[in-house]
Amino acid sequence: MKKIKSIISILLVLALMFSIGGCAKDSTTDQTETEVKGKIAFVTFSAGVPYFEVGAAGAIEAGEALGYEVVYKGPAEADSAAEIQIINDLISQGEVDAIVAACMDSSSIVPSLKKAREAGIKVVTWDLDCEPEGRDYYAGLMDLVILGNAWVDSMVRSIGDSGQYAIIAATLTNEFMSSRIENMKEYAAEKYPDLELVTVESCDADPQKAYQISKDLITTYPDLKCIATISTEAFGSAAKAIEDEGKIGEIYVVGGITPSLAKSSFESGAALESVLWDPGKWAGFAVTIAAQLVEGKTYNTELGKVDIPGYPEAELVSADTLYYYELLTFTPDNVDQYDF
Amino acid sequence: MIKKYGNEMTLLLLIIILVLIFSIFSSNFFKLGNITQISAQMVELSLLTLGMSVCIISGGFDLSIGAMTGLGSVSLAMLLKTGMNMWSSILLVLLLLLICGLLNGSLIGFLRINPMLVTLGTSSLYTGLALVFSRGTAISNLPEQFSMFGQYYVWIIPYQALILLIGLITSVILLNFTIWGRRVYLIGSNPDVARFAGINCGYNLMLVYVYSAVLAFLAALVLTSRVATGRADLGDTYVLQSVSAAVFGGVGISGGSGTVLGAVLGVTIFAIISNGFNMLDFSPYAQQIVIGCTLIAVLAYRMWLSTK
Amino acid sequence: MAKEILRIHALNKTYSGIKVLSDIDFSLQEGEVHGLVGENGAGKTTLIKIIAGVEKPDDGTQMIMEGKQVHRLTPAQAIQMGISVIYQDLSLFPNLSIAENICIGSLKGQIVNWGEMNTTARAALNEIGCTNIDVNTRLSEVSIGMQQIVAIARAITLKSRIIIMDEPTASLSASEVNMLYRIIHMLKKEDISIIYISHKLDEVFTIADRISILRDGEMIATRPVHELDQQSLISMMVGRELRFLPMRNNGEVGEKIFEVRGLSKKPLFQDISFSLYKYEILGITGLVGAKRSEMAQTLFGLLKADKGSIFMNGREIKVKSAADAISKGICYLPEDRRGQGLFLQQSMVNNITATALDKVLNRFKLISAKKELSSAEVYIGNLNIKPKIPEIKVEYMSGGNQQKVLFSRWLNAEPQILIADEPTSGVDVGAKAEIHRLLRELAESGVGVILISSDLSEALAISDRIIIMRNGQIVHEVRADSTTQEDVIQKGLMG
Repeated sequence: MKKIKSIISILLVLALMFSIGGCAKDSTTDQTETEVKGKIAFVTFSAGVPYFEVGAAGAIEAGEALGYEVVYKGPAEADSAAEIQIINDLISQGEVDAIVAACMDSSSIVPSLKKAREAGIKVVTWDLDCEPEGRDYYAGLMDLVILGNAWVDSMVRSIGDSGQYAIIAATLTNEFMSSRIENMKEYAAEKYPDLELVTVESCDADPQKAYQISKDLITTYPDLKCIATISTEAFGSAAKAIEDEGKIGEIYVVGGITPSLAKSSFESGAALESVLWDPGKWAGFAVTIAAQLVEGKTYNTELGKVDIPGYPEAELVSADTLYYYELLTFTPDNVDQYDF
Repeated sequence: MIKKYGNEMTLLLLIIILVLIFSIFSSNFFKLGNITQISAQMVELSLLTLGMSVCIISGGFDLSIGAMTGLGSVSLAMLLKTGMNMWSSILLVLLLLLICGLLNGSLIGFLRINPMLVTLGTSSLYTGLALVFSRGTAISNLPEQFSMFGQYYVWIIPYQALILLIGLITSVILLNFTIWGRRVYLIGSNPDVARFAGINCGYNLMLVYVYSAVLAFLAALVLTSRVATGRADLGDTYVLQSVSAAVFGGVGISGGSGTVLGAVLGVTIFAIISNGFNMLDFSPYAQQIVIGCTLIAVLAYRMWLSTK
Repeated sequence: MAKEILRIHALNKTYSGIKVLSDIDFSLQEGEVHGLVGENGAGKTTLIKIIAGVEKPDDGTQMIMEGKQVHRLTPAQAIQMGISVIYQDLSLFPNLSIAENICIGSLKGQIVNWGEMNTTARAALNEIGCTNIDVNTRLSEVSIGMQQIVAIARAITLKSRIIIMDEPTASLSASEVNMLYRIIHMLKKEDISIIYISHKLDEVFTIADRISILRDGEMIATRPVHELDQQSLISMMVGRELRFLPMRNNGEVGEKIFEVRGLSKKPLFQDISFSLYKYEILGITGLVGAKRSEMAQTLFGLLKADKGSIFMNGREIKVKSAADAISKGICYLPEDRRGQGLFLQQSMVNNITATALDKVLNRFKLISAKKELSSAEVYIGNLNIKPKIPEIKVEYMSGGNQQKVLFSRWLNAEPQILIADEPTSGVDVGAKAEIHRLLRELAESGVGVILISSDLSEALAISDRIIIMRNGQIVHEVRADSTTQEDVIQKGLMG
């Protein structure tokens, strides 16, 4: 009797499991009834992060347009080991033709991606790239070093092409960061000679420190017109400092942070725009490349413009890297359309 | 026999049923490749759950296993990158984690500070050290030879599954058949009574946390090799998972009851559910919900059995 | 005659089949101080717990409070009806202020009004004549006597009609006791009734109007204080008959096997010296708080002595820890069976073998389940432990059988000296007799047995020699067959 009861209760638990699992499955893969050319897995290291949710939506949309089923997978908590498990399980499952992956770091995912490639699955990375042996192509936005130049343009849109500005960076010791700053300096000096860079400060990615630096800048340089931030932490802090010092309308902050973080700075009037990218668009780029790879296309013939539908600027910049060069400028008018 | 190991038998039955069901729904589930896949993927969590189970059985907790795994991973990767001989690097890292375990164990066993507080504290200490060592970055390009622990096979069996098997057998023997193991159960059952029975609680508890550190070391070894990367946050998500797996496997949260075998069966069930649902393309959130519901259902079922 | 505030009729209380209170009648008048006396285990604590709603009496019990029948009293109801108990440990919050402690039970609503709380606390203290107290002081910073006053003040703010005081003077100085008396007089004037429980008979004679005597769960008598004297009270407390058949050795006493000289641990006990001879049982008795258990735990290595020496078989030994004590043959069977003695969640086998695991190892130095089982079964058979299921969890066993399991553990450790601390408390009569026989058999086999017991009749019946402890000191030593309970109480306990 006891045995029977225990078996019944186990069965009940299982029934419950599958009904829950079933419901959740329906919602993600229902629309793929019509003929499907193939299946692409869109894998991140953390599901439930708005940035990746937007990316996944863009990926699924791009897939649909091309006739591919895109499944979105990612661990519930940011964890690269769990992302690796998902990729391994995809290989075992043997159903996907391509994997589009965002990596938590450039190396840990590589052994499993290599296995996927050995199993004949095409691999495209986007967002943060991994080491080249892990993927067929990296679908990139642009050389992020020169993203800073877009912020210089943004500054000119905010304050005009003359006046003093300061830069707050997350760090000054990082090679990537220093070359980005150098690029910005050269670009501004060449294109907008009337802009004057007064100083470059490091906030060590600490919002409190960024706030303090901003206040000091405002008092030290009475003619300061703009604070350019190269640090997610600094944008909001600089805007707060401008607001607290009563300099709204006199000094502006520029840089690139997500619309949800930019919103309060728009509301106070301390910033007019934030120049970043659309993760949905970017993920769609990666999915489109993956789809083309599945269909047998290769790009490694010659560098230069390539034909990728929906991405007119797309360009092969090295044997295994493509850029699509499309930034997105968030302004008070469009900020509410994006939720990441 | 069946009665004594009733809980383990129930878990085993659940595993069989799960395997049957997933085999029906997914043609690729019951294939050699996938089965070895599961056995390879559950290793790190299983190793950490073994350590966590011993701590819980002794009446405590070790929240620092994740941090120790991260510290182990980072230091392993860094030592390997210096070009040091692989085996001496491994030995040095084992030594380092033994020191971590000794620190945890001494604070808990001899100074009698609450294990939760101690390991919460040392957890940030070890993570901090790992971050300082690695400057917060992932350390890659490890020597090819090192990938044996997480990527090689012995015949058809993943190398790390053998490590788990050895860890499991050792743990079963230590806990069920040695004086230390019995004392761990007795101390976990009631430390005051243990004291009045002439058991040296401090020393035995210290060993518990040293043992947990050794298992964290093994987890770090396997994990670092599997991902060919040293990272400070590699073990983070395993801490709470190991607690739920242990409890799922029948380890009583108040100490003194449960078996390490049950705990590893608990991990196996988690691994099967997670793999099976990935095969069926269920969303990650559904997995969380299902694992949560299964956990609650099993606990309720056990409660119901015990009150009958 | 004053009006009756509480009447209890035909009160019975059974704990798992053992009757601890039988057919008690009790009455309390308005403004009366009613002394309640009896030996340890006579049922005083159970009786007040029932009055306070903490324990439920058996069916058929009648309780009438201010003329109204009361059924199924809960602690909250009891407080509402005006019954407050000041337990020995006072149940106060040392980290809160005096005002908070006084008002904690009478707080209304969700938000604490500090001003109002201080006023209420001061008013309550004024009522008992304590005007110069800063109610914002933290409780842990004031003396025990002051804390006692705080507990009384709390009872007053709860509008108590009945205040029960359990051993209120246990840790008070003489001047504090006088202050307490003064307060009790004031409470009497307010028509508040007091049930006063004390071991100190002279106090009861000083303060009480009437005295009730409990013995073995029965109400022996309730008399006005002027109808009683100490002698008659003591004889009523202990009863005439001996409850246990004396079991003594046949006069043959062997060599000295154990000796304690000048053992001290401040502030617990001082200058303890005694000897133990082969074949005899040494009884140690005294009131609760005499620090007998602490002394025993020091011999067992759980506590560290400040000074003093211990000799075994003529050689001085140092006991560094409990494990060390066990290896030297000294075993201690603790008083608190559930909190210190047994692993309730573990099986009977695991409990029995806990201290002697090295005896059940196989040749690989691993625990052999077979050996373990057979060594446990020896004791299950010899001590007639029921049920005879070695795998049963100890928590499911009866008190007597639990105690036998505990004995088995220590017998399994092969003691030379066994200190048994209250081995028969909470044990039914049958098991008591078996335990007594076991102790005697052990003594006859050459194990030195020290029996710590608060039950005088037991100590007298089982021991060959008795030492009496009070406040951490040995005050008296007698041969058990040459003394009576009355004598022991007179000499040892009353001082």
